[in-house]
Amino acid sequence: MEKRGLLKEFTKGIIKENPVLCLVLGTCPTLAVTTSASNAIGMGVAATAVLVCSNAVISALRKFIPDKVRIPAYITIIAGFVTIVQMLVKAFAPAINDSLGIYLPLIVVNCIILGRAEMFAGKNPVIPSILDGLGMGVGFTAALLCMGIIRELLGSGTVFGAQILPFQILIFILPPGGFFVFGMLILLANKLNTRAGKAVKTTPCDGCPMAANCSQKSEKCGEKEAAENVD
Amino acid sequence: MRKKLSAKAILIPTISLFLICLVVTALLALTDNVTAEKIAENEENNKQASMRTVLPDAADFEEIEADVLYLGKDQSGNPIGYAISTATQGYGGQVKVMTGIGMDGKIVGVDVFYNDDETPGLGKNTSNEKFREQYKGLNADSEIAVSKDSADGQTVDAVTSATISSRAVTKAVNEACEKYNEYTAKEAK
Amino acid sequence: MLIKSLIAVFLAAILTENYVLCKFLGICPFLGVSKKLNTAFGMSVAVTFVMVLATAVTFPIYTYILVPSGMEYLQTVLFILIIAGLVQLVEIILKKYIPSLYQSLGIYLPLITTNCAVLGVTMLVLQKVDSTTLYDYTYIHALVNAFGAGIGFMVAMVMFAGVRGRLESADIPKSLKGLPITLVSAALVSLSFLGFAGVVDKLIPLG
Repeated sequence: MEKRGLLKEFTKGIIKENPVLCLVLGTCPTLAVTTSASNAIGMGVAATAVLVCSNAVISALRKFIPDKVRIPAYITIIAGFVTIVQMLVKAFAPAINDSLGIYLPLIVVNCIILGRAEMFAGKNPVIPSILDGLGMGVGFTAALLCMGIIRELLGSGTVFGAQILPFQILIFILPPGGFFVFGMLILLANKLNTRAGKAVKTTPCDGCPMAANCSQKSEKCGEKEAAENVD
Repeated sequence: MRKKLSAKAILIPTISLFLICLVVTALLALTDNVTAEKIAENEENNKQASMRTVLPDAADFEEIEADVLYLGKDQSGNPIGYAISTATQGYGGQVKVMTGIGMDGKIVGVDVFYNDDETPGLGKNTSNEKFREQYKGLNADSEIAVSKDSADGQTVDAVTSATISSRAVTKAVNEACEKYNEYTAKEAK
Repeated sequence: MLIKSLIAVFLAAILTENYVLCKFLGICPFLGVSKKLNTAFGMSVAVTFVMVLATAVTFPIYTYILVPSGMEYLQTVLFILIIAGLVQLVEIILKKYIPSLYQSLGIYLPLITTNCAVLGVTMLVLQKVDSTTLYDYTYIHALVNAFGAGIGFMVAMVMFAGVRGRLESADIPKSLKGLPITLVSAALVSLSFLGFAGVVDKLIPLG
């Protein structure tokens, strides 16, 4: 029974609560770095590493961190791990560092990480938190990879650098193509979820880690909180 | 109606936050210590490889101005050309170019060793050989232009739909030529 | 020359380097708060304000403290904490002294800490210092760049709010409703911004 619960923490992030496609978190890196499949994997792995480490540390320290300075403490810890990952990538995989550029340090503000810290790691023991981070990370990587493969295949005619299509539709690796492919993927995820009889989330506010802070004031997030209270 | 804040209510969060920052900073300093050398080594290797690309005949490089100007020498120590590193602003960010100029003042080779902020499939294609080859044999003493901008003088054809990145590379090569001219003029005195 | 380069930096930040539509920074608020014109406008004013303020603080700290002491690796941690602190500070000051402004902008402030456009602006500007060769990229340029980035954010938000207003009354296939159609229209808006590529260099030639 216990084991099953742990497994669930891991698998929920991959499909049911996929951070990108269902919770619509971390949209910026999803759109920005998915111009090729290998970039997508690099970003996914880096973010997963940060997510697992920060989840582990935050959940280990959850009794020590006073509630008042929770958010700054989380941000500091996350930023620390991001910088460590950035330095390691720079030292051992310089090519990935070059191609991810500014988006590597920007993992700090990836809402998935702060969101998981706030919603899960701050309230649960270490082992489930690590599994939760791992699951969410894998889900994130999978969604990114999916986007990366589609955009690289259509945009440059290659997958992982290997030529597959004889033509290229350049627009897919340009910014508009990113928005379009992402829209189509969410459409697909929504379709699958509605078929399975689940509610469809419509605004990014639903998964926003700061939603709790603005919910009393902002009407849209307020509705969401009301809905949550009913649950 | 304000609640009085007790000293404890202020101190405890402050101290714990301070401790967290302290530990994070220490960890970062440690990682930096471990990785700094490797990062510097990577950069050095990159630069070396790039210099080899633009001056393939050189066996050794003598530093004249750190990170900018290097003199390439063949096996017996005779100078065969200069490798000059310059950077300009491209479409998405920095574009770094290594230019090799022979002793006769002609460009031997150009290597775009950093253009990762450019659009993949467009601006990034400036590092393709087909584009870089065009600079070979051009004279360092007169300006090079992208053929779209000017019809006369020395021109290169821009990469299709990537005029800005192509201009950036061309500008970097021009800057390298300028550096070369400045240096050789100084040497001649 | 200085004025000319400042104008070039400002226009580039709005049109060619638009943080939302060209660099994919700040997508969350772009999709989340752009439903109504007035909220879109309020959010962008708050973002612009924090961007300029954050750059005003982080730029000198980086150039005069971190670089000389060789601690560039603290950049990410320091910047995000400065931004978080500034946002809090602005919120407290607004609440106390200009409550009317707080009423209209206050609700957006907590959201800005995790807005990657703000962190992105403060970090990307440091790269520009190295790569700009035509003129010296000074503190003033950095501030103008931050202001332009904010205005660019506003242009994107307001434009997109208009587009979404039209979408409300359009007859959209059921499965496209909500986020998918928003993203598809974002694709079209971003496509229009591609047209600005190179326009600033042409308008204001800098040598």
